[in-house]
Amino acid sequence: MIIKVIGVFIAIVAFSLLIEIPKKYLPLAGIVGAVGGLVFVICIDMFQIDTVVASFWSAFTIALLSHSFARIFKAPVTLFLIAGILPTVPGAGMYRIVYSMTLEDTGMAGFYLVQTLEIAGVIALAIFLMDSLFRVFQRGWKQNSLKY
Amino acid sequence: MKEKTDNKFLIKLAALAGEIMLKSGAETYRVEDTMTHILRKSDAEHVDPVAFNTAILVTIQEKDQEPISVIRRVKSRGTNLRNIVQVNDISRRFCKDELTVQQAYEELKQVKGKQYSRLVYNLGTVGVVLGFALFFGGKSVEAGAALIVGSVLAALVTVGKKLRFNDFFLDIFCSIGIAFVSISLKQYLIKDMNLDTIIISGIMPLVPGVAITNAVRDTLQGDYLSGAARILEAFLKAAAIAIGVGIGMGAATGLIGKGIL
Repeated sequence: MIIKVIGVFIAIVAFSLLIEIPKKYLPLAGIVGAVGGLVFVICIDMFQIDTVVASFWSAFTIALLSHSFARIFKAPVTLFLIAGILPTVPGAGMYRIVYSMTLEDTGMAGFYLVQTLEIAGVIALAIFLMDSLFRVFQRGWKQNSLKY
Repeated sequence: MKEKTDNKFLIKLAALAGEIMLKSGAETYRVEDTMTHILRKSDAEHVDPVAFNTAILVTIQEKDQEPISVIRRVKSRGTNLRNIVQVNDISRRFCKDELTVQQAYEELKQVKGKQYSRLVYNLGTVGVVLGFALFFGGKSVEAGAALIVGSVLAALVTVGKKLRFNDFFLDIFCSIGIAFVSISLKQYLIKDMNLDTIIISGIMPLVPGVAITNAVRDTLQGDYLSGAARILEAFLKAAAIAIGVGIGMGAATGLIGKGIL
């Protein structure tokens, strides 16, 4: 499990380089991603939760951390969110769809297609929830300041 | 006593800030928000910045005067979060009166380009593949294979960008390479590796995470036009990767035989 978390930390910091995140935010983005990855691994390995639900909790944690970090370190939310959300993006699902198609297994291809769409959907839901929650708390508090 | 700001210059400043942000892949609501804050520094009756993912329109109107408008077409878009952070920072300081319009404009003009070199970018690509190979349960065997696949991917991206492929084709091109190299590796070099892990890690740097995130955030803001455009972008990217991996696997299994899968 520790290796997995270290792996996801490396991956997110490296991905942050690809999207030109400033140097001082690199470790923070890595932490957001690593915690998200940790939640995902715990859900799957320890509680045997379904991939879709695990993706939701992972994305939820990532969105929560991103919003908190954005406010603590005074940087746009996008900075942490785009990098951090990567471990939950259903790359595996996309591959398995094609893999099943190559093997001419239409049933499995359909299953993975639905699962991939569901994961994309729960990622959207998690980001949506967090954005809305933070907006409720922010109202009246910093009315005239720029959004994060 | 607040100095009266020149509206013409202010609108230039706002349009430049918006243009840089849009080019760097900011959400449209953020672009509009930043421009609104800059334009509010004037005493104008109406300030209306509008941003789509391909263009910016800004209008400012003072009482009893003709409105001033600026339209900017934004053609190339990428993801460069440093630019967004810097523009954000400059507009914040400008709004707190720490910068004059002139200073803010000069600083905005400096915001461009990449901070990391080609080499760092390529190392980053390898790092993403390696990191995800570990995350998806890879052991040392898979880590080694990920290093090779990552390097191949970095080389393909570099070549593709040199040849000025468009984004869609670049994704197809890269994923063909990933699938083909991974299967060949399993066949000829590292027989006991987990093929799924390697291919999935390989495509991770290409997956449309940025598009999905921005699509959600734009749609949530009520920017359905930009949101829908970004959802389409995400689907296209996903389709490109799927097509590429499919072609790569097809080609490799055609040469080697289906038993490898």
